Amino acid sequence: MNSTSFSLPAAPVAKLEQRRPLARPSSTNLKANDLVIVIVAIFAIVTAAWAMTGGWNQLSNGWSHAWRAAASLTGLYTSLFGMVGLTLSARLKTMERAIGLDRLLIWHRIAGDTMGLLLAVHIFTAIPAEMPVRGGFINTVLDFTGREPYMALTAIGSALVAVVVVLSLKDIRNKVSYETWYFVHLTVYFGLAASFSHQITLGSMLSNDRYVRLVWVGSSVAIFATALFGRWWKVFGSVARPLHVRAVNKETDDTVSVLLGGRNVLRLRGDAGQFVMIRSLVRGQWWKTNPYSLSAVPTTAGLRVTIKDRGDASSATRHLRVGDRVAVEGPYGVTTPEIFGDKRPLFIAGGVGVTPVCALLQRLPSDSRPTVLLRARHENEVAHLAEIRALAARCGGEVFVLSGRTAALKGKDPFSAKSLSRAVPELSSRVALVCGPTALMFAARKGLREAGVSKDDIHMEMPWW
Amino acid sequence: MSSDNSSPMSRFALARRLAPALALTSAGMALINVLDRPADLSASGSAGVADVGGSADSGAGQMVTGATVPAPTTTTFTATTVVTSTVPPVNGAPSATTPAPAPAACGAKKSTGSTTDIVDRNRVFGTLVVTAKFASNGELCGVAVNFDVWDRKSVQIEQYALPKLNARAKKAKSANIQAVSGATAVSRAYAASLQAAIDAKPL
Repeated sequence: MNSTSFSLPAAPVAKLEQRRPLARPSSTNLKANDLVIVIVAIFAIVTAAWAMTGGWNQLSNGWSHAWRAAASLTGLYTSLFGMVGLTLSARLKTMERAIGLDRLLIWHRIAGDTMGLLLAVHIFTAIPAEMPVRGGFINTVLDFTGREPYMALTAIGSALVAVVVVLSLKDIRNKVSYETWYFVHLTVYFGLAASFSHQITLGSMLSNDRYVRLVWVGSSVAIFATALFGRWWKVFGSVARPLHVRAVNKETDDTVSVLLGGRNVLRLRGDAGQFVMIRSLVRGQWWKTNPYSLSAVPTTAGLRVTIKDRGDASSATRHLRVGDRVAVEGPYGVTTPEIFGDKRPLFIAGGVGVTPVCALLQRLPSDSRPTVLLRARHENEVAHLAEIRALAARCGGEVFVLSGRTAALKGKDPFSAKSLSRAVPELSSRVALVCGPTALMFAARKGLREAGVSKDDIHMEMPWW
Repeated sequence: MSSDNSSPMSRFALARRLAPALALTSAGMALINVLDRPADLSASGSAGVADVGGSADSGAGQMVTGATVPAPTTTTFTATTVVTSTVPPVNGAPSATTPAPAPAACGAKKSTGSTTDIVDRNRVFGTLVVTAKFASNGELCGVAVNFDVWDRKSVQIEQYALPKLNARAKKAKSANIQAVSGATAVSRAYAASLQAAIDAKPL
């Protein structure tokens, strides 16, 4: 319209200190159900292929054949669950946006456990299936551990997979340090790759039909490569383009807030309510990562995380000093402000779980009237309390701090349906976000469900470790 | 910065945590090397299974067995009615050589069938060729098979199935025999080759 617009000066390069919010994470139409449907469909196709290449007939054709059919079906399923587990842990962007890293890793665990179970069934059906032609149990076992080509690889590969599965059982997993478990966990790549070859040489369905073989090998290699590349490329990128610690503030006796900024922050997309995986690139710490919630809306000035010193795991953060390099993966998570829609928000947080609340409050509209319930041993121990009070007041909300030791509550459950509905007006028509220690999250979820809050309106980062 | 947080305790923290994974991996690799002793894949050279009928054929280079199912893998054939036998196919252990009386009637006439591929869908496992023996009245009375397969599992299947097929052929006195379950491809090839041998029966 204005013919003199040529005289406008060139747009100035945005300065970091101008603090505009980072781009929001991309949205996806993919739903958790869609993922389930795809996985079920893949299993259905493989089962159909197995049945059509004789598996079904073999089942009802004498013991020896039935064992063989069962062994091939469980073998195929074992491999599929391995691939599904691998894909889930690759943190593919679309899948992460759809169900969140926490649920991806929980599904990953379920896939892994199932794989371990099926692996056992596969081994103990394959041995009786082959015993008649190989002359007894001993000979079969010897064949399967080395005399048959590729079976030494397979035996050791599945042993590694079994070790990884067993070590990931919760009780055993908690007995070793996180990193010990993690490094052992990584050997599963070797285990899966090593046990692949016998599928082609011994799996009759795959060795007999060239086209089935082509599709199977092709998709396995593709999935393996995607998982490996997708997972480790992100790690590599986060280390190659680190953020820097720009400020460290002591919030309470045992929490600090850390602002991570720098040029590379502009490459990230994120929103309030998400979390990041942090790896501080200092000597003795670079091989550890820890998840931390963003405690402020991420801006061009940087990401603020608030960290509680819980001993070994987060003690590293005490050493974080201004200027240190920090590799950041993420932000991940789906509890962004969109979850509230038009409904009134309810936040229930315990301990250092206040961090996402603090960030989300910044993004709520001024008429949203949120209610914030904070649980802590003492009011002094709540990080960002003044900030939360101010933010809540800005959008017409209220903040309650429930302090004191659990024993001092004299058996009254603060998160029972009764106490919740007394404390929170319009409870059943709210959307709740729960964050904090595991026990608190499950207690609060139970109370909310009993008070009539629908399942879809309760959000939390599920504990995946 | 970095030097002051590496106390003596934490100096080996990474090594300590990495050790189990590295130990597992290297133990795995070593075990694979120790265990991986596949039987010679090109265990070709024709390995024969023959003469269920106990013929007196002193044909060269054939392994002769009784109708019993052989003990697989550690294959020394139980040679009940043997005239000569050569080195067994798979692992080269010598087998017993036992002379046996020769029923004169069988083997007056012989005919060799076609060399037939053992094929299942798209995959060829090897070949076999059947030599049929006929009594003087022209009746099928014995069968000898030479096979040449390319992998260990097929060798085992052959050793398991061919004696059974021989027995069935001798009983049926024709190529119209029931397949051995688990060895469909072998049975099919066997029947085809035997039929060719019968068709080519010398007058």
